[in-house]
Amino acid sequence: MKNYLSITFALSIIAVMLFIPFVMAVPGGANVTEGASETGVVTAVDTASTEGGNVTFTDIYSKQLTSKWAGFFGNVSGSIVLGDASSNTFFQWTITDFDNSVVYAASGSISNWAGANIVPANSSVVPAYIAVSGTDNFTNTFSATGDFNSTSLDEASVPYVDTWQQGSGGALRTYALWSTADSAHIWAGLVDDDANSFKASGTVDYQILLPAQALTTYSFYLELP
Amino acid sequence: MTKSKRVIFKLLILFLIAITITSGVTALEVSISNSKDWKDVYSIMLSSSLNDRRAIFTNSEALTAITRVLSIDNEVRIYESNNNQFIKNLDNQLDSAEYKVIDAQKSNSFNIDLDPENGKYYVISEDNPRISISLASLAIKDGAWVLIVTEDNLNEIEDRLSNAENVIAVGNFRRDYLEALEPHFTEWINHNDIFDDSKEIASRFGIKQNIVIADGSFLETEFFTTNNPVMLSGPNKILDETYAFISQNGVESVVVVGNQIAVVGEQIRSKSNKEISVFVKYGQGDAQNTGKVYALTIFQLPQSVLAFSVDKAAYDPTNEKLVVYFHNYGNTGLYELTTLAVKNGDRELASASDPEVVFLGGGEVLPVMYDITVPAEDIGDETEVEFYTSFGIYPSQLDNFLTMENEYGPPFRIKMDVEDLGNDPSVLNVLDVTYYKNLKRAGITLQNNGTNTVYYSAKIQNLIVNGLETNLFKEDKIAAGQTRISYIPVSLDKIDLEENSFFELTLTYGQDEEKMIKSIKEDVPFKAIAGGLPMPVIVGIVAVILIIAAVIFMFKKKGKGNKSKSKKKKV
Repeated sequence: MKNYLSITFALSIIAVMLFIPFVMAVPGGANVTEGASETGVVTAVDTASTEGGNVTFTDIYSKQLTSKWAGFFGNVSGSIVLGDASSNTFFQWTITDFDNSVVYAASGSISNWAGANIVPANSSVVPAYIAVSGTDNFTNTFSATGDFNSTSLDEASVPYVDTWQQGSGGALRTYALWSTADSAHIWAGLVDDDANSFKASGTVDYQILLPAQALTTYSFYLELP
Repeated sequence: MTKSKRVIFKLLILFLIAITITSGVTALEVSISNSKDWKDVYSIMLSSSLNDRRAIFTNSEALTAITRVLSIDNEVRIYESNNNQFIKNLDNQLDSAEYKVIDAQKSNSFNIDLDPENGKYYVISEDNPRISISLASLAIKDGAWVLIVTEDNLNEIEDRLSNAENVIAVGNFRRDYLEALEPHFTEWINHNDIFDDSKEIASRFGIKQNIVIADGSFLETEFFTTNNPVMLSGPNKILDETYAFISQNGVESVVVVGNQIAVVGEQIRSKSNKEISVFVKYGQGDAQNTGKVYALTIFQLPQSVLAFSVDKAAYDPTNEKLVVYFHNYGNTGLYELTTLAVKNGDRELASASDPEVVFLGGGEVLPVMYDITVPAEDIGDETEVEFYTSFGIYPSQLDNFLTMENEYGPPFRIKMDVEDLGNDPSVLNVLDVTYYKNLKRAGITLQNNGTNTVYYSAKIQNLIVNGLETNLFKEDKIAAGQTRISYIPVSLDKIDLEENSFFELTLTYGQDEEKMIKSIKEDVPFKAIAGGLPMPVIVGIVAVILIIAAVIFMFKKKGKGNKSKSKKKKV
C-alpha cells in the first residue's frame, strides 16, 4: 500500500512537471471592441490600430465578441504605400491590372502552389483553439463551402466566410485552404477593386479573416491575374 | 501484472492522453541576426535553416522591426556582430520587451564561426553577393555551407577547404583568391554570367514545378525557407534566357519576392500566355500583435547603383541622322542596347536599333548616331522618340529596362529636337596604345592635326585585370597640333600581361564637348613596356642628388672656415 501511494505520488509529480513548459495558445490576437450587438452594428474602433490593416473580428464579421480571430485588409492598387516593420521602406504597387487576383495569407513558406498540394482546410488541420466546439470556432465561422477559383487554383467545397462591408453582410470572401506538403494554413481573400470596407465609409481591395494565432507571422502573397 | 504495475501503466496512459488533447504549443526558438554585414546576416540565416530553426534579421536601429512581427511567445537566440551591429544591447532591450532570450553569441565573422565543418562547401567571392541568393536553397538542400571569401579570411578558408570532401566554387574570383583556393575545388560553376550561373544552380534541383524569382539586391527569409530553386532576374526585366529555362523545364508556378519586382511577374504571365502562375510575396503580418500588414523585411546587398537615361534626341534633316545622347549618371560603367521608334502619337514614322551593345563609362554622355529618314512634313511638336532600351553591368546581362520616372516598364519617351549637326572638322589620330609597367598605366598616344581643340572620351574594353575583364574610361581634351599620351591608371599582374591580346579601343570625339559625334573603334595589339622610372629609382636619384648637394655645401662651409682662420693669422 505504501509502495502504491509512493509510486502514484511520484508519477503525479512528474506528470505535473511535464505540463509546465507547455504554453497554452492564448488567442489574444486582435483588439476587441465592445458593443457589437446581435443586429450587427459596427462599433467604433480605434483608428490607429485599424488603419493599415488591423481589424477586430466584430468589425469584419460576426455578431459576437471573440478574440480568436483577426482580420487584415488592404489595397493592391498603386495609391497605397506600406512601410516595413521598422518604418524605413515605402513602396507603391507596380501592378495596374489586378481584377480577378487573390491575396493569400500563409502561415509558412509554400513549396508548391499547384492544385494537388493546395486543398480545402478542415477542422483537423486548423489551430486547435478554433477546432474545439464553440460558436466562434472554425466550423461555425467558415460555415459555408463553395468552389474556390483563381487564375491558378480550382478547388471545390472550400470553407469560406463573407466578411462585412459597411457594417453588414458583404461579399469580400475569405477561403480556408491548406498546403499539405508544408502543413501551412492559407487564407485566401478575393480582390475586389475599391470595394466598400467593413467601416462605415472607405474602400478596400481585400479583407481577410484568419486565426489570431500565437507564434505565427503570416506572409502575404498577391496572385497575379 | 502486479497491482502497482497496473497503476503505473494507467497513469502513463492518462499522461499520454493528456499530451495528445492538450491545446498547448511549445515556444518556438527564433534566431535573430543583429549585424550590418551582409555576410553575417547570410550566414546566420543559412545556419538557422540548416538547423531547422526560424530566423529573422535586423535592418535598422528600430526594435519595432522585431517586435511588430515576432510574438513574445518565441524564445530568442541572438547572433550579434562584435562592433557592427544595428541595435545596441539587443538582448537587454528584448528582455525589457518581455521576450525570452535564451542565448546570445558575438562574432567578427559568423561565416567562419557558424561553419558546421562537415566537409561540404559552396564557395563564392565577397565581390559576388548576388549569386549567394541563388545558392542558399541549394546549400540547404545539400546540407552544405556557403563560404564567402574575403581578403581577411582567405587563409582560414584555404585551410578548411584543404580538409573538405566536396568543394563547389561558384562565379568569378580574383586571381589571388584563385591561386590559393582553386587547387581545392572539386567543381567550379562559372559561366562568366551570373544569370547562367543561377540557371545551373536551379538545374541541380531536378524537375521542379515551382521556382522563386529574386532580383538579387536584397536578402529575405523566403530564400532560406524555400525548398525550390531561386533564380535571378533584373529589377524590372526577366531575361529571355531565364524565361526560356522556366518554360522549358515545366515550371508551373513562380513566387516573385518583393512587390518592387512585381513587373517581372507580369512579364512572366504575359510571355507564358498566363500558363505560368505568379505569386508576388509582398508583405508580412503578426495577427497576435498589431495585425498590421507590413512590407517585407529585407537586407540590402552591396551592389553597383546604375543610373542611366537619355538626355536628348536630335534629328538632323539635312544629313538624315538621329543623334541620341545617352547619359550614364552612375560611377560604374554599363552596357546598353536600344531599339527606338520616332512617332507622332501612335503613328510610327521611322525606327532604328543598335547593331551591338554599347558601353558607357561612369559619368559619360555618349552621343550615338542612327541613320533614319523622317519626312519633314511629319515633324512637329508632338514628335517623340520611343526607346526600348535594356542596360546592365555586363554585356550579356542587360537586366534593366529604361523607363519613364514612376513607371516600371518600357518604353522611355523623349521629345525629338531638330538640329543641324553641321560639319565637325576635328581630326584625331591614334598613334599608339601601350601598357607602361612602371607607371601602372595604359597610355593612348593621340595626335590632333586639326585647328581646334578636340574633346574626347577614350575607352579600353575587356582588358584582363587581375584575371577579370575590366573596362577603362577617361575623358579629356587635346589642343590643336598637339601629340600627347592620355594615361589611364590600371595595375596588371604578370599573368594579365600574358593573357591580354588586344586593346579594344573606342574613341568618341568632337570640337564641341556636348556633341562628340565622331568616333574611332579599333583593336590595337597589346604591348607592354617598362616605361618611365620606377618609384624606388626616382627616390634613389633624388637621394643621391641631395647627398651630393649636402657634400658640396659642407665643403663650401669648410672652405669658408679655413679662409677666416688664415685671415686671423695674417692679422
